Amino acid sequence: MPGSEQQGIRALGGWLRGPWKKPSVLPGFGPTLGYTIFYLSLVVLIPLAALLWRPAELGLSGMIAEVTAPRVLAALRLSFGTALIAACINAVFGLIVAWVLVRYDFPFKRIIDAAVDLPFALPTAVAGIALTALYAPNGWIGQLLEPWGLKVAFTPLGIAVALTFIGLPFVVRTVEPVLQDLDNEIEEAAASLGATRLQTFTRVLLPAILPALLTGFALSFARAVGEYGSVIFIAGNMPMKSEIAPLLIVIKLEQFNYAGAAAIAVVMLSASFAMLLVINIIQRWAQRWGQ
Amino acid sequence: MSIEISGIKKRFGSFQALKGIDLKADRNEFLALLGPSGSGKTTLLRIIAGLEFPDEGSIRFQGEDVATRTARDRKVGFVFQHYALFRHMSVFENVAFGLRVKPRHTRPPEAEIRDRVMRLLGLVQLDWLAERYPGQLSGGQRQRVALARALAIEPEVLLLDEPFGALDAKVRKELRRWLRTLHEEMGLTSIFVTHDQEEALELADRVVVMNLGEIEQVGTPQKIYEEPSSPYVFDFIGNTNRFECRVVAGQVEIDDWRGPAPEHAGVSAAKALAYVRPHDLFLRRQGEGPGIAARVRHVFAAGPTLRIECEGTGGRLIEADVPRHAWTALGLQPGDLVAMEPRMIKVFVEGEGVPGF
Amino acid sequence: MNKARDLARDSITEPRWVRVTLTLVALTFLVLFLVLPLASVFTEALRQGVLAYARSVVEPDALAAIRLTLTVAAIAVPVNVLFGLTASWCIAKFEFRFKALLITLIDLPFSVSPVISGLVYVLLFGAQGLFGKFLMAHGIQIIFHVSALVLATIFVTFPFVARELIPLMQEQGTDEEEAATVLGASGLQTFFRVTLPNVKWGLLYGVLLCNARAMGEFGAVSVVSGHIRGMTNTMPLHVEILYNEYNFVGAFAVASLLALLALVTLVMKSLVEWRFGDELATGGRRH
Repeated sequence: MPGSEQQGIRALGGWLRGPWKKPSVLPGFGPTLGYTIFYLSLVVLIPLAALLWRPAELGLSGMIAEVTAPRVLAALRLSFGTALIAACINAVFGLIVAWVLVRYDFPFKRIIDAAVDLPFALPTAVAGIALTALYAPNGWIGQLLEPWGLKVAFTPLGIAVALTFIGLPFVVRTVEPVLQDLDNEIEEAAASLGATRLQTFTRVLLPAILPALLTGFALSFARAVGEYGSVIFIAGNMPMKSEIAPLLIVIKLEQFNYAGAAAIAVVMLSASFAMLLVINIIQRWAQRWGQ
Repeated sequence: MSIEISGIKKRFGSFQALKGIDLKADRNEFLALLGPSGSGKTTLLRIIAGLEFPDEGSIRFQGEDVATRTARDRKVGFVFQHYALFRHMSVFENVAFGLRVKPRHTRPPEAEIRDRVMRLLGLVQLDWLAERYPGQLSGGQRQRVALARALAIEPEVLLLDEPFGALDAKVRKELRRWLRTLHEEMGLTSIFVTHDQEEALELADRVVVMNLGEIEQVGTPQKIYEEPSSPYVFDFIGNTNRFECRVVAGQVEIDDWRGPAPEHAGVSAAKALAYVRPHDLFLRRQGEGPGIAARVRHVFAAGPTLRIECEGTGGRLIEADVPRHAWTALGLQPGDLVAMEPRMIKVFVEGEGVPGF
Repeated sequence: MNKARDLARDSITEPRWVRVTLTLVALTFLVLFLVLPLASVFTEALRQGVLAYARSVVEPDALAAIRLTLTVAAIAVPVNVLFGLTASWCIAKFEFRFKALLITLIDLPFSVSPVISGLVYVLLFGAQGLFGKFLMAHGIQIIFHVSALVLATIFVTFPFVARELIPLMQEQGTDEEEAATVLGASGLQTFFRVTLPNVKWGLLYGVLLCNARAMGEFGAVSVVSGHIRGMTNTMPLHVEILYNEYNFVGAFAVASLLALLALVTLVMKSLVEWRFGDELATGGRRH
């Protein structure tokens, strides 16, 4: 037995000592890497680890009980459901916007293109109160919808609207560069082979932009699930009805239920990491053509 | 400054880039490292500059080991393959860089920097472009800026990585001649890397042929061309016909033709490779004398020398260079049978440690 | 002649009615979701006239909020710039194992909900947090204090500068740095004279985005701030308080300042893209 143990230690040593860094004439690798890891740990990794440590005091059963409480489940369902709707809306309209911006010419195109990034730049609280003002029953859009019996503000529909706003740039910005890089010749080739325009789109163009579209969809979904600022103003925040999961975290914190808040956070964080993984898989899948 | 390289080995992961290189460049010598990509020539050049670190072996400048000297302290001029000009600096500032980064007590005063840079730019005939940025220059101009920048620190050693690789043929020829003059005027020891045999043979005092991390042969261009020391060098340098043949009792046998191979007199019978340059093949009509039997297939009639493409036994392609007047005198047509007699032949016998066999 | 050209073009574009419809759909969508919200901010802010607007902006609590927002950004942005430069130097200029993992970890805060970003600091430093008792015993307050606002802001803006610089420096390679070294430049000289000037527009780009987020962050700071007026109230938090007090003009007035910041950011960002696009990373501008 000591023999195999020693072997194991030697293998580990070799792995650690192995050429893990290519030598270079440029200086400063050690200090910069050291600082990067130190700062990363201090600001990001240690705090996130604290998040895992806290619910552990509830025990597994306690934690399950915490996150399967009806109010929590309703909030999670609402957050994920509205985020999914918003991501779908963004996938469809984002694709159209990207297509129009890349392919067609119209006045002020550059300015409109730049404006797509507004949701990235506009503070979420500002977006929240602005959308509420627009969709409230007496707002510019709300009063148009009122006669139809359609209520947006203070309902789950309003949440979807806010999430659409903040996720809007993701699909446009991921699809746009791919559309730009597409070679005109492949469309000409398709046309010369007798494909109609619609066939060319569905069989040649769509497959080429699909990975980017899915990536944009996933990014917009991931962002929407955790969104807080733009939602709480328009949501109405009725428990079981229009209370999103991030808000429930805040409420639990205000009640000093740290473990409960952390438990919900762990569920949401797991979901975002799953999305991150999905995005990575999509991108690896997209690279099978060696793009 | 002389450069002495001994026992240099370098491995990248599982790839052995250099397998033990010994080489000496004399003072004021102009050396070419010639080889295909992956032969290790660029790695060797970067090791000399201190940009890469050898696993084993030593490098001496003028007898002094420079292992502990960083690239910064070696004071060699290095011209990068893609020039690596500082894109945000003007041509002037690029050339002045090496002077400006000197420690304060050795840094020349501003007026002298200006003088020296303008003198260098004059030397490379680019003083009129001093205020331009690299992005606004042509390839040949960038190349000359890179050279002026390397020379600004007054190096005694100049290293160039594929210096003409990215230039078109005409500019390349001009710059070559000019570089040679510069090398002589400035009393430099220069080493350059190239995969272009013509460039190496034309420019260098000595050519170092490299293959798979090893040196195949070192010698003057003439020696390399006339007496390649291995089948590899023969294949790599110049045009050549290669015959799979036999050596029997000191004679080489190609099909029905026999010729002397005195250097292999001790060999009773063995497989061999024979190399003959196209201009060392003498053509006559079949039956009028000895030679390798072949049939004329095609004549390339451009220039003073004609390239005759013939088909030997078993469909083997043989090329011969024949002066125009000799060809006219022969009066041959495609389809005619000929005997091709080698006037100079180099034979490598299997199993004599010949690499590339 | 023209007809032939039209026919040739038809093979790679859509009929006119399709093009017009798609353009109109796209523009309507953008007007609905971008232009109208932005316009409503300014309309609501000016609903009771310029005077009421001006009064809301210079009100002491609003001024305190503006000051605090500027302070937080003035700390968080430089700290993250320093980190971004250090991280991108070691990641882009050297080859080493686990590099991909390191890049993923740096991007991590982007996939964490803002509320969770604040929560982690409460769990660490809050009254019942991991270090809560220790901090209390030594009379140090972090949560409900400016330091927590700064920490949470650093967390959410952590990747902006680094992720702009890393791909850019990777594209630029190490040729110029090696050339500088051979010419005798020291490490710092190489960095300040060669590397930094080459990435200055990318850096500015990253700083713009980092700053916009730092000044506008709501969720993370909301969790750690305690909403103490005049003390731990940043501009976005102040907007919320005023709004919940039904002081709509006040809320939208402060919001309009933030919207202006967003517009300025967008304009500068676009100018950098248009003018120096080729000096930014080509890997797209995703955030």
